[in-house]
Amino acid sequence: MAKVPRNFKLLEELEKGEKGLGDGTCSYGLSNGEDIYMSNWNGTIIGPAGTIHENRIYSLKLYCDENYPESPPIVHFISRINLPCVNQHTGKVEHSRLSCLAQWKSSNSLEDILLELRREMANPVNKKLPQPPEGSLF
Amino acid sequence: MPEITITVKSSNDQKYNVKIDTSKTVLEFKQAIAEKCDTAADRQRLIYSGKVLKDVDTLETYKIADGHTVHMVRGSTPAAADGSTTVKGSSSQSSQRDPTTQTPQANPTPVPSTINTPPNLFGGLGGFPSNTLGGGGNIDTLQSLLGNPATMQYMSQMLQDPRFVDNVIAMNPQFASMAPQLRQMMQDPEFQALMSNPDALRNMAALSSYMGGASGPFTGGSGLTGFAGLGGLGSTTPSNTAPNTSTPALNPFSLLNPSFAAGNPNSTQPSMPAGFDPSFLWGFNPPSTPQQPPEERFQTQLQQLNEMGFWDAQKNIRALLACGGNVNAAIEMLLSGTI
Repeated sequence: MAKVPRNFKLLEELEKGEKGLGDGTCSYGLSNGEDIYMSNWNGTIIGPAGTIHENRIYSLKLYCDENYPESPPIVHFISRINLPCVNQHTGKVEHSRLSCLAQWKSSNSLEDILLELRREMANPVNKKLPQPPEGSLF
Repeated sequence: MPEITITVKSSNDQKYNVKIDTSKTVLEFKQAIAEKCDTAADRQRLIYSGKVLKDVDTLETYKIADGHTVHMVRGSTPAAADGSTTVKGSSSQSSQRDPTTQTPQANPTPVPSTINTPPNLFGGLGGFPSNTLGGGGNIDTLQSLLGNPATMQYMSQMLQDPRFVDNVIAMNPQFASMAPQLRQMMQDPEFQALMSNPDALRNMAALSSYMGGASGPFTGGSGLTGFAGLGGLGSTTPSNTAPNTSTPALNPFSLLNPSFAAGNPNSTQPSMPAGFDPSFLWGFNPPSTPQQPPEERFQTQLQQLNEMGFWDAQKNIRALLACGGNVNAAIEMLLSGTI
């Protein structure tokens, strides 16, 4: 299978994010539109309905290094959240605790990560976890 | 300034196309959206490119271009919307300190899970290392931990749970002789307020690291270690380490003093100054196990157990030792057959 160069893939993801082609529950885009290397991204996840996260917006930052998409991005929560896969000191999403990061494929996208995190929030095991007050940050 | 068309996708899958000038602010954009849907501007939360849009910024700041999509989420209340759109760094201190906002839906399940593993008690707090508290080790870790509202929540939950207190008492034989006072202290709302107050805890950490210099003995009991630092809570500033300067009224630990003196043969002082800070004492007298044999110390408890039909004196003593003299906990232990 042809290898998609990093920047092509990121440009494609950027367009998808800006145009809102996803299901609307997650949003992502460049932190700085002038960043020609497209390394630093922002993401948001809208808390799934019927969970403790409902009506909350979680902000994240994602960092795509030069090896993206061969290696996964580094993902941090900016908004405080209590989830097993999130380091409670730094907000970092532990690669080993999120399957799409642990078994990263170069065809995966930033949106896949956000969507999986959202599924984690809605996971029956996690959806009732006590959460810090909304608006608090890591 | 160019006028662009922005697609607004609301969380209930409605789509609106809004024409707007990019020099307009987000608030004006929200008002334009409000004309097309039933969500008032102050209840809208807008997301674009992974960012929550702030009311005061213009659309240009976010480089929203023609044909792009903005997501809209309905906030439950205007206040909640504010919370999510305020500037970074404005931590909601007030709500963190207010225990009522933390405890209501909190179910007590995290607490029992820690009950069975006393040494790891603070592990439930997200790696609350007790030697960090007392040993003056990694203050940064502690700082970040203290800022964590989940910590506060656990704190208040645990302090309200008598089993936690039992556990703390069981963790260190030193506490056994003062179990009743300790229990009373932990249930004291004033003490709970202190424990839920990040500033107080920070002061305490600073104080205990200050004391850590002279604290080889602190490595003794991890439970005590944590509380040696807590002793400093009574004094309002870290500089208040001199024995006679702390304010007695504020010091919930003052009620620990009499029993502590009784349990500590190294202390030659017949009576302590009113405001004596116990942590001062602990800092210089290594925690020593009480010299009285357990039979004597637990005389009343043993009698109680006997009356209830627990005849095996050795077993009773072991159970009481393990439970720090708490009869109820000892009974549980005896009945469960773990002793």
